[in-house]
Amino acid sequence: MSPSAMARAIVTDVQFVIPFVVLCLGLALLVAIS
Amino acid sequence: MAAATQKISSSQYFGSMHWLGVGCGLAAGVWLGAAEAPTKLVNSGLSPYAISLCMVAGVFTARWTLPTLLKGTKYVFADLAKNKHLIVWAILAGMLWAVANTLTVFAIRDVGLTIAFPLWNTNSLVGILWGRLLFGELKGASVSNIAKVLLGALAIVAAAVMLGFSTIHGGAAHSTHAMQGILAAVGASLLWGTMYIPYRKAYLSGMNPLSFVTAFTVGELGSVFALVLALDGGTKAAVFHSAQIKHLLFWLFLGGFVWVIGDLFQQFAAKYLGIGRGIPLSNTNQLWGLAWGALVFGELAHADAAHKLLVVGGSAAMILGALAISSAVATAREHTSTNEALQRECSRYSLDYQRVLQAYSGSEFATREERRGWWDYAIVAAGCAVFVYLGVNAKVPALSMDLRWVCALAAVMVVTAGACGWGLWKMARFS
Repeated sequence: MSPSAMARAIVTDVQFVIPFVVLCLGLALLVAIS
Repeated sequence: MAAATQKISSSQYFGSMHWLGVGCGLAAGVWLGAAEAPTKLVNSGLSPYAISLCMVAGVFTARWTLPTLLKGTKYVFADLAKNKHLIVWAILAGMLWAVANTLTVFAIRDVGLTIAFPLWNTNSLVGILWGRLLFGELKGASVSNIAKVLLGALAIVAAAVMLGFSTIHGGAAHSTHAMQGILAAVGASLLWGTMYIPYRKAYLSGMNPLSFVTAFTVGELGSVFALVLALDGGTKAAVFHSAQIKHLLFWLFLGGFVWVIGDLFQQFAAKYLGIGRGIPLSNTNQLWGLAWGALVFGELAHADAAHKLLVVGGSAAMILGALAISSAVATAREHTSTNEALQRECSRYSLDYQRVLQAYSGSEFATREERRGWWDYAIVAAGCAVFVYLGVNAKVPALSMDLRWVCALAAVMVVTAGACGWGLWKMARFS
């Protein structure tokens, strides 16, 4: 698997998107309340 | 290769790995609960960010002590190279842990532990939801198994809340930022529940928990360091300049050492049980945290009858919940769903199905080079030297402790780690 194909597979994987979005939400919340 | 396929499809294999996972989940509870004990010796006035950074630095250092001996660095880096795509998930999981841990600090500040604690303890329910939606856990399970897992998880959440309340005296903190605090606690629950998605994904793809923890601790340390720089005064943060930190570091590093052992057991529980069953079992850490607080530090010495009733009720509920989940042995139909999730990983990332199956079933150890190099011993020696140096400079605070209970609880830790470690070595060679 080429690096670009792997990168594409990762960023379109729902099992990556969900934790990543949750992390971003968590960071946004942290910045907002600190 | 064919042996692995045969092995994973036998009901005897399912049963033995289930009980290995249950043992690891319960051992994780014992060790993660004990990780709080050394931090009780630190009463420094340092910010929670600073405490968190020091403890995570301890976690990072500890990963390179005892765990390095289980599988040499050659094995770990070969495993990481074979599963390059999973490094991203391991670092992501470390970042999720760090942000969630910081959110709990704000939750406690704004609404108090009474409200915040029950909210973030629902993380196991979040984990069950993700396990069902993303990995097909409990899909095809019998009604009784689904009931056992759900009711068991709910009982453990309720028990954790009761045990948490038993240590709280007085009402909730008054705050003008109540909504912020509630959001922070809910956010922590969501992050900690979501953190298990990378755990499960890694093990379905055949990654070894020791390799996962290696990248996880990098993500964890980097995130906590960044949070100190961003939110705790930057390079002027007290943690970088405080003269007293040298005398406290040992206790925080010791907490980190205990935590990393507990987390390793938690990782093996997630591998062999799935996150729906594994997280609630490792959440029994609340019971052991309370045991250390009450028996060693005498935190319940002046508790009234209502608080003692919460301890008894909470402990009983937690034990019943753990028993319910432990007895929910996955059936062959449920394992078919697991195999479908495994095939999805192989198809999506062009992985060798037989190799992944071997690694997932814990039988790939025969095919890999596991000899330790001289550098492994050098790394372990360096990690231990850090602990010795900090120990020599540590100051024992004037805090009343019951040493008989310290010995008894430490013995429980050693026995659980020994029993589960032996099981992991015997059945899967720590794979």
